[in-house]
Amino acid sequence: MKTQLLIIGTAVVLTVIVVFTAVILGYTLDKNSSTSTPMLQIGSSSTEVSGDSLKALEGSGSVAEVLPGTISIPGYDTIKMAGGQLDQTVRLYNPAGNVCLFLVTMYLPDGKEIYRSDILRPGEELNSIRLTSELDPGTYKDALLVYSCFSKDTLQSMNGATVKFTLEVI
Amino acid sequence: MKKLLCTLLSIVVLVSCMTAHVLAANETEASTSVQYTVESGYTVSIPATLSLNNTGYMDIYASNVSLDQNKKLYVKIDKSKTSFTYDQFYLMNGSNYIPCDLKVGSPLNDEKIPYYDTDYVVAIFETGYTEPTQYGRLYITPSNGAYEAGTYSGTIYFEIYSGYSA
Repeated sequence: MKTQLLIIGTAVVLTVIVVFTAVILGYTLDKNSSTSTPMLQIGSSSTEVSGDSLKALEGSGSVAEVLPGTISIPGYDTIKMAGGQLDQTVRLYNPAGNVCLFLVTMYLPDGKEIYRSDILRPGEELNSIRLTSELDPGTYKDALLVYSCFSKDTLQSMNGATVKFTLEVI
Repeated sequence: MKKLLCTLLSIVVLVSCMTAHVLAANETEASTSVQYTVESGYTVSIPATLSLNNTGYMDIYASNVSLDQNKKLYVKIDKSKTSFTYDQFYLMNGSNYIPCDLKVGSPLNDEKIPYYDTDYVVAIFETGYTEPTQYGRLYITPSNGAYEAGTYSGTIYFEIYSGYSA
């Protein structure tokens, strides 16, 4: 009788410990998963996301997936620059996996060229650029970023794209 | 035996209290948040090359589309940088050329619309979608005629921009 009670008592204690451990684990996992959920709701230019989501976004931006036989063109809705200086912090890149070389040229809406890159190989990235002339503060709608694409092997011209964006000079 | 049961029950109560304390401590820490502003942007995939002998159309895709609310992403033919004459696209081989008709359609149906009827728009995307929400396929058909043998080629430039839907 005593042995039976001892077994039952031990079983009760173990069960309680297992249940509480599961509750704590479940609570912790739920907390972690809820922090990355907002990433799925990104839909505006000013969305709050967690640090985890930020890392995920950075990953998707720098190494964009390139479909076979296609050229991936990175586009920007708005690019911000500082007025009265030539050196700017702007990220321009040729996505890894692209089959072509990029030559990127930037124009103001009036057609004035303000930047021309060197050849960018697939996976190559610029984080700072030097403009040909300083910009006055203001908002320049319909500025242009022209992507000229060339074959890696023959340097022959390929299909290309022009991205229209808003240039905000502060 | 009763003493043993009492001891066991005491342990259970103690563990419960400790767990509640740990959970309460976590609740307090959960109020910390990190903020970051997501810049709007996107990646558009255009065909690198197209052989009209094999396929008569090209599809446009997009990824990482993150735009302001109600904004859409438009992909148009950049007429100023593409070989157009009298609303026809030209493939060149030296001084020889083949005029081509361009029509806009969708991978989802067989509809074909002359590109000038869509104002040169060949694909429209919305935030979160990789497939176009309108159009998305550009048909290129060489005009009938007798042409000198050889390889004819041309490039199409696309104009990409975001804007509010009408």
